[in-house]
Amino acid sequence: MTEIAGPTCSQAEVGPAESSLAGAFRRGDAGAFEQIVKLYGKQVHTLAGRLLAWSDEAEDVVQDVLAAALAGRKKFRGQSSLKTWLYAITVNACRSRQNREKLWRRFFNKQTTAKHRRPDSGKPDFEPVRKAVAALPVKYRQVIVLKYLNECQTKEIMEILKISESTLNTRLSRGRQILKESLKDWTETHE
Amino acid sequence: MNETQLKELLTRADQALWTDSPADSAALIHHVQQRVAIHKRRRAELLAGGTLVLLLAACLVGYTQFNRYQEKKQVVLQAEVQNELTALKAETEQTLALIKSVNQRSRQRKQLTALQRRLASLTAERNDADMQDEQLAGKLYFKAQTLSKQTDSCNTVKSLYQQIIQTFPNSSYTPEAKEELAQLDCSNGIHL
Repeated sequence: MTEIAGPTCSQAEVGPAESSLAGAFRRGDAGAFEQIVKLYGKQVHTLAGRLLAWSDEAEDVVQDVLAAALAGRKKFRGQSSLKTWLYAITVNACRSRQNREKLWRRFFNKQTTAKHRRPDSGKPDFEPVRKAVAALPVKYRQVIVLKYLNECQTKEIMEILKISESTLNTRLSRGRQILKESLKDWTETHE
Repeated sequence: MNETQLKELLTRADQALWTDSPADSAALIHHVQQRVAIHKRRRAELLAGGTLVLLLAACLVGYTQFNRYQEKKQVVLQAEVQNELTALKAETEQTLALIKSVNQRSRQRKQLTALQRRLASLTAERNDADMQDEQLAGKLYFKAQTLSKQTDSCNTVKSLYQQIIQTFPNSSYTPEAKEELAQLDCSNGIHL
């Protein structure tokens, strides 16, 4: 089986190996599922962590995503790659979680118990960057993360988020604008 | 800050903020399988609960419908019984009226029979009385005829004829008695 690793959107094309893996997974082959977890588990974890602003809830989301994929494996028609499909599930899972948190905050006025990783001492403090990304509205954060951190292609982002190219460009532009404004002071001090 | 600088900044932040590595595949698969099993169990529980609720709802609806049906049936039966009672009452009234009429006619017939008998009895009595009157009138008349042959009995004969006329006015001897009384002249003796 082809080894796919790394937190980027590379190798999104559907090859024959992936087609046979997808077929076996659809039929409920346990070995195929294990293979998918090995291939895409880390990538899903990375994407979830970035979408949740490097929260330790990413592991929980990964379990949610893989459980949802396992439960809904028959819905996968093979029109896109397995990774794109898993990314779409991850994006939806993160959005649902963020919406739940938002509602929780609104009705109970409480902060969530999610913890964020602190960088090691001696390294530059990127907490303001994390906060700026976390403060982005979900729809802008999704495109920023997929484009600049996961380095996905435009077509793939459109497939994952099910949006048009113009919408994607608008969101990217607006997200960049918000981030630049948020990080203006921080960049000045670190240049 | 241009697009490239932004990308570089985000990449550096990403590298700095990722300190923990994700759980290994085996542990992840185990957790996912556990989660799927829990999900399946919850779904089965939900399905069972839903089925139970549906069954209860169906029972409730069935019971309500059955009660409504029974009530409707009872109302229809009551109406039928009421109609039958009304018809029976009308028939009873007609029968009672007929019986009353029959009784009245029977009583009238009995009364008529009694009256007829009474009339017959009275008629017979009347006939007997008439016969007796006729006989008495005849006796008186023959006595007057006998006495009229004697010269000194004129007044007695006259009184006998007068008695026949007054007492038995309907007898067959009365016209003759009237005729004899008219011809009788007691001043010159008895008229022959």
